[in-house]
Amino acid sequence: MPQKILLPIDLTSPEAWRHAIDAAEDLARRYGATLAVLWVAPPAAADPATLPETYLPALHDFVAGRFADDITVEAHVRADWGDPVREICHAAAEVGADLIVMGTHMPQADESLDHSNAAQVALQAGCSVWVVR
Amino acid sequence: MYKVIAVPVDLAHVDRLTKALETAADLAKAYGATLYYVGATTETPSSVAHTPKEFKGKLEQFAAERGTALGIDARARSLVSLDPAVDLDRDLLKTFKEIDADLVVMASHIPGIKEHLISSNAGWIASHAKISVFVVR
Amino acid sequence: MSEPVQPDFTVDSTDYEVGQDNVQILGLDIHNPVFMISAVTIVGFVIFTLMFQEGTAAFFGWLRPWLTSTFDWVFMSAANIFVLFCLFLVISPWGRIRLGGADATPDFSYAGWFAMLFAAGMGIGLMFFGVLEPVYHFQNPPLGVNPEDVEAARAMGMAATIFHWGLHPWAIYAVVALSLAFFTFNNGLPLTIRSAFYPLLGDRVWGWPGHIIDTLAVFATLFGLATSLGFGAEQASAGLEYLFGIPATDVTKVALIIAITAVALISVVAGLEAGVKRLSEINMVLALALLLFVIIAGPTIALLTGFFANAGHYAADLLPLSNPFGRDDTAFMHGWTTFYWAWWISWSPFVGMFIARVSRGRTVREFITCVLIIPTLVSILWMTAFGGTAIDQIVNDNYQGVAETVAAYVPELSLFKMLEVLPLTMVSSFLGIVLVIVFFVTSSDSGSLVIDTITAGGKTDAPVAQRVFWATFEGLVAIALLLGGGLASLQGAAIATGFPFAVVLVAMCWCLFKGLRADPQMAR
Repeated sequence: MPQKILLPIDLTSPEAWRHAIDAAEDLARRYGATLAVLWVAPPAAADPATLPETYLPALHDFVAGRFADDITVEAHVRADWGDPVREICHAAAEVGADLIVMGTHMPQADESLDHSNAAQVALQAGCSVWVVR
Repeated sequence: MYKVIAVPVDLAHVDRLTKALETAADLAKAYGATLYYVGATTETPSSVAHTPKEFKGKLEQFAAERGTALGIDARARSLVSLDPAVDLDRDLLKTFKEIDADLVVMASHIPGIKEHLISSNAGWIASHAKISVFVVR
Repeated sequence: MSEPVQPDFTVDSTDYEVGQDNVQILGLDIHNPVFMISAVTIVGFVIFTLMFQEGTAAFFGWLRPWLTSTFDWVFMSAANIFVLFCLFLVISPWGRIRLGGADATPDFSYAGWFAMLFAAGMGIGLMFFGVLEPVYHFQNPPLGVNPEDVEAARAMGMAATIFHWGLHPWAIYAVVALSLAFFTFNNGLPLTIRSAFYPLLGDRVWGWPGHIIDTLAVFATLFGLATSLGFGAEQASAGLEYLFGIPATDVTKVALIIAITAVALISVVAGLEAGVKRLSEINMVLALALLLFVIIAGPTIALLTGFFANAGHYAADLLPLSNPFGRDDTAFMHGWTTFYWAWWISWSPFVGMFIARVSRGRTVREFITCVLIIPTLVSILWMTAFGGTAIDQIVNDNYQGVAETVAAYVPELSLFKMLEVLPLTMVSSFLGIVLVIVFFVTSSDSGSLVIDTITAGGKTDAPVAQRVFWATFEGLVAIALLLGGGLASLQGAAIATGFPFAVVLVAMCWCLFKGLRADPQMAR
């Protein structure tokens, strides 16, 4: 079972990962896994030099408030250069995650296919991926 | 959180699916969910079984064995796919709906077997399913 | 009589596992000897034929007629045996045996099932010969009927035509289809031609005798389909030229082959249900539309009463027409009857296997009713409508349009000549052309699936790439023969396989009977 779980979220749209965060937290608690929360930051503010300073504190605050002390949580921020899927997959490799837990956006008009990043990550990642709907 | 977990299995390559099967069993235990092993067969004889009836029997036996060994509520659901090379994934989704599954746990691929010889396509199912999908690598 | 004999073969009596002889190379899953030998032999034959056109044309141009003349009694007796065997089964206690086991349910609805089996088994011939043949036999009646006696000639013309498209061809298909379905669904043997001979050859059937049977089947199917496609492109193109002035050049013909192959490819990639079945259903709807149009636009009352009259003539003349011995009208018998029987027999591995694949869940009685009896009734109706209208045009209106195409033997124009003097010609002719093309597609897609299954050792879940290969290959062979000149030779070769298969099919009847007697369902 997993030892390090990557949980990509976007703090600006919490609806997408409402269930995913619960599932990730549950797994982390059950198996004593470390939870690495990743925020792939929106492109508008993408300046690598200033990125961590701008977003990391907000992410740390969120993490501290959301999770109890019994699970180990890390906070990471990466810039979104237009391919968040790639960023997520690279991040997973970098932090040594063996599972990615992701939510998807609410169903699009085209209900038959989820073009979301989660499905793409499921296809491309090098580790297990849990798409939580 | 989850009540019914569906696990697609290829009975011809069960030995290569250990991680996916273990993950599914763990999750079933953790959530107290019912586990359905879902297998597809052709109407014509295959390397696994001569008839769909025989296939169903083998799948049920597989589920019973694992259920007892792992201490979980494990059941079997077999389906006949008339043209699996083309229809399998769609047929699987239909079956998931029939059993009211809310989570699918499946292997991303079967190690050592080329992609297109495999039964089901985890990527397609992850994209098209309306429920959570756990792709195990 | 209803006690089963000690079963000497059941699902467990052979250790053979489907796919055990397969190799997985390049992402494919193929049966090692059969796939390679078939592919290589076919390419070899095509190259040889193109290089030695005159020689091969002469040889096969001689061989096929020689076989169908010299061994006329073999073909005709075999076909008669098949008809009798099928009729026997349908009334016998074995009629209640269900394919797939007592609790199997049909995979397809009646409509979808019937559409698929009819579209695979017939179609193209009905379009062209539906008009030409009744008129030809009306003008040159067999069995010594006087062509001057209009009513007798008309009756015999229809009877002789229906004879060629009725019980006998469908019995040929039914026997093969039932055997394959039974041994696959009730005995768990792979879906290949060789499995039907397990009672006779035992486990040797997985070795070379079986390889030969399967390879011959692939050969006959591929060349049958490719040459039909090639000739069909020529005929369709002649139709297009006649109707719309599109010149019948090689470009047009190749374009037609490519178009047909492309649609067939889309069909096989979409799969059995979303592709092949759907296309067959469209096919049936269009055919029904044209049939109804002809009945309504033609001499309707005469046609409707004609259905019963012709059925009667067919029944009355059935015995004399099926008798191979002591016939004076050998030109008719060899030029039409035995030629057709050889042709249908050479197609039977393909049509039989396809029908088998989609027939799980039907009882033997249901099966024979829907594969033998109902298609025969449809043929009677079709021939009555098309041929009856054409003959009526000659007799009552003195219209010579169709008769001219018969005299010049230009079957592809017979249909359009007949439609020309009916209302809404442009619409009906366009429908006719579309229907011809769709019938080719439905043969091509089901044929590709069959070849794919045989060359994958009976697996119906081989990678899609393989069926794409065979469908494309068939189109390429058709184009090569059309352009290089070899269609007639290789069609002759394909039909010549009808001779060994005729004998093989009689053996298949015996194997099937043995199998049915041993089926556990008879124990109740």
